[in-house]
Amino acid sequence: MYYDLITSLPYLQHFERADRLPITPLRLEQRLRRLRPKHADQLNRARQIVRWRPERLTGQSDRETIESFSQLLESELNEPLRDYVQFRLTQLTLLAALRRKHDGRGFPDDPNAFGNSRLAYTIRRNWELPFFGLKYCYPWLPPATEKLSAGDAIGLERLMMDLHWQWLTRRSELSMFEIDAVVAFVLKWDMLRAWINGDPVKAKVRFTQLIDKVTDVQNT
Amino acid sequence: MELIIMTLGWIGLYAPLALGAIGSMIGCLRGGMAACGAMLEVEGGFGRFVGVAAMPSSQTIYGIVVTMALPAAITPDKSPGMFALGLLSGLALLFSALAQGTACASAINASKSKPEVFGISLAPAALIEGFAVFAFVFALVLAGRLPE
Repeated sequence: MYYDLITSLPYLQHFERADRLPITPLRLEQRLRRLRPKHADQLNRARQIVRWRPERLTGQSDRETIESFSQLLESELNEPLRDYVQFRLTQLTLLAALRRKHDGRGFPDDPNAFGNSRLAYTIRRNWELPFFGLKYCYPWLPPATEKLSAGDAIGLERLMMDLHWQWLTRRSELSMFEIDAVVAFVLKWDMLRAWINGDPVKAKVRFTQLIDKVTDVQNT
Repeated sequence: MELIIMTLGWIGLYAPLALGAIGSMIGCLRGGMAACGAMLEVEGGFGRFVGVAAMPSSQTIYGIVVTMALPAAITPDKSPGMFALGLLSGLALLFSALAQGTACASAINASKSKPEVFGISLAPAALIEGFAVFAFVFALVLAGRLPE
């Protein structure tokens, strides 16, 4: 039970409506010191792998990414974290397959290119079917395909992020003061941070502010 | 055999107070932890958070009153009734205090970010208090009906 930790965290607005992070990284780390060492360790390990646009995965192949997720899933994780890692891996696998198919390429020569899960097997078996025959299991596949076809990268990012946001929100509502809520908050905070950092309008304003500041310094 | 029956009577006599106190302790702990966490997030209004956190303490008071209302002289005739009445009312007080603690923590969490919902967010905790009062009042009524 994390009554004090949960109430010490601010309300997180939906990433599309938020204009700033409600808590700084430093302050969040301070608050998370209330976590039990075991939970803190598990959360830190998982964040390195599952967080949005993780720097350390840049340049990694699909196979290496799957390997990272598999290693994480084989290690000791609490239930909400394990469920989320599994959920994230599923969405990443489907998206990777969707992108490959959209590019007009066939299933990779390596039969385990998308891992060796049941989902990977279904993708391989149903490669020629629309949405791999998984349209009803994963209703986000048709809109994601539309956005891929339209070259709407931000729309696709928004769709996927919203999917994860809703999943984490539902999960945290199951047990409001348990580790589930802490995991959901931290992962949503990571998503919000990635979204805000990637905002081109904000980047332009910030850039202008910096230019103004430099110009002011030079003038004085 | 008579000793066992008498022991049950003593358990029944003290159960409302003991179980109510245990529930209040854990309930106030939950509310208190939530209040302490919220204090890190808000600039003022700490007092009302602490006040909300103290809500589950009423179950101990109900437990004291029920214990006082039960017959002080324990006899083999009264013991089974006292045991049933004391234990069940105690359990009702215990669980209502636990639930109220969580409801108070939720109210603190909601009103921390949105102070205007402070009053309405306490409605679930007040409802739980109502159920505790039912258990308390009927324990008093039934205590008067124990065999002479």
